[in-house]
Amino acid sequence: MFETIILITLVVIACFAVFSDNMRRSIIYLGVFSLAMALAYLYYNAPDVAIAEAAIGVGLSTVMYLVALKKVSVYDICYVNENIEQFNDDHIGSIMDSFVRPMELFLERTEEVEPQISYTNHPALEVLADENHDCILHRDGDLIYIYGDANDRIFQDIIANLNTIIPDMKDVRVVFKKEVSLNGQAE
Amino acid sequence: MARQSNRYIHILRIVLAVVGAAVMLFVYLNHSEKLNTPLMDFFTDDFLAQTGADNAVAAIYLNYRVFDTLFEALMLMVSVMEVINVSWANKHADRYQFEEDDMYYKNNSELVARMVGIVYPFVILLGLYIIANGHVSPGGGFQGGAILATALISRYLVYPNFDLDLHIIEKMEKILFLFIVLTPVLYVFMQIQPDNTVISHQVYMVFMNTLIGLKVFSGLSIIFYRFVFYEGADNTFIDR
Repeated sequence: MFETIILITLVVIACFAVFSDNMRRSIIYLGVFSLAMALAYLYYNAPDVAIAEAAIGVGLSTVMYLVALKKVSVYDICYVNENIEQFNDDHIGSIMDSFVRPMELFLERTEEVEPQISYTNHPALEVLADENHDCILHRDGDLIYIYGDANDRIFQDIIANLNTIIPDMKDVRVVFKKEVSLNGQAE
Repeated sequence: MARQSNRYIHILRIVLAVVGAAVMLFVYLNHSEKLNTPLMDFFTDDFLAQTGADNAVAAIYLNYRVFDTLFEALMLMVSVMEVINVSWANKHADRYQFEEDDMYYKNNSELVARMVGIVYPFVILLGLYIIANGHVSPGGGFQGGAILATALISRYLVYPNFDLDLHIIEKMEKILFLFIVLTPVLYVFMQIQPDNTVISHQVYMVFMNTLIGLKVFSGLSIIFYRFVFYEGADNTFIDR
């Protein structure tokens, strides 16, 4: 009975940790998971392992994760293509080598931020208005528009180094976000 | 073309995994030999008289299979050296100087600071207890060292400054590792023992646990402080 309760609790807490929306909450759930794990080890007559799990899982790694979370700076890129009904690997692969990968490498190597890329087929203006991305790549026909904030230091760097990041850039247009909102109203 | 070869490599990997699993299952299912428990009997029959430990786990990791412990200690030391020398921050060490005092001290949560301040000495006490009683009760050098490191980290929560000299701790860890190798080599392998009694064995156990505990403590605190103060974005403490 006790065994069943512990094991089910473990699975439930692990699910909480994985599916929670907030990273910080996930870390706390992970600590609770370690505590339950230590209890399980104790139940299986391994007190040595239980002590190690409690000390490292609850103490060290939780604090370490919290500190790391504070330090990671994520640069959020959104790729918009309204003409695609459903995104699949081929669509992503078609822009992967020419666009996304060089951009990621630039962000990682030169800017030292963590790139995070999402793909959508929602209308670009809607994405611009509603969602808070650092940078938006919008593909419209043959042209690629890059939207970003003019005051963003990383975005400025991307624009300044665009000819080294993307070898073939005659189809690329850069739009700063403030202009966009004006244009959107005008339309 | 590149995508084609990628697919072939993918299929090859799957085939290899399936073949490996099949071989494993075949060997496992065809293994019908039934053994007694000679190893368990050897380890658990008379460990108190042979090794001086009341705790069978301590008897195994400090006497019967002390070789494993040596390599575990080596592994921790290598990872600490890796963190220090190969880490990303090493290229930028000039950019990440020690933080100024008191800069973010006031922004810390008062509740956390006070509670941790109360708990802190007890955590140290528990760590020392677990190290010293490693051969009697569950625990031992590694666990006690981890708890001591946790105490140091909670000190960082109370008062986040950097007045530790990591180089001294790093050197201390290497010297401790030397002693960790030396002690069992002399005592267990070469049998240079003052006396073949339980008391002598127990002294050896406590000594080894203390060494391991201090080494794990210094290793984990180096890793933690290294991560906290050198790694990551340069606006580290602004949004605290």
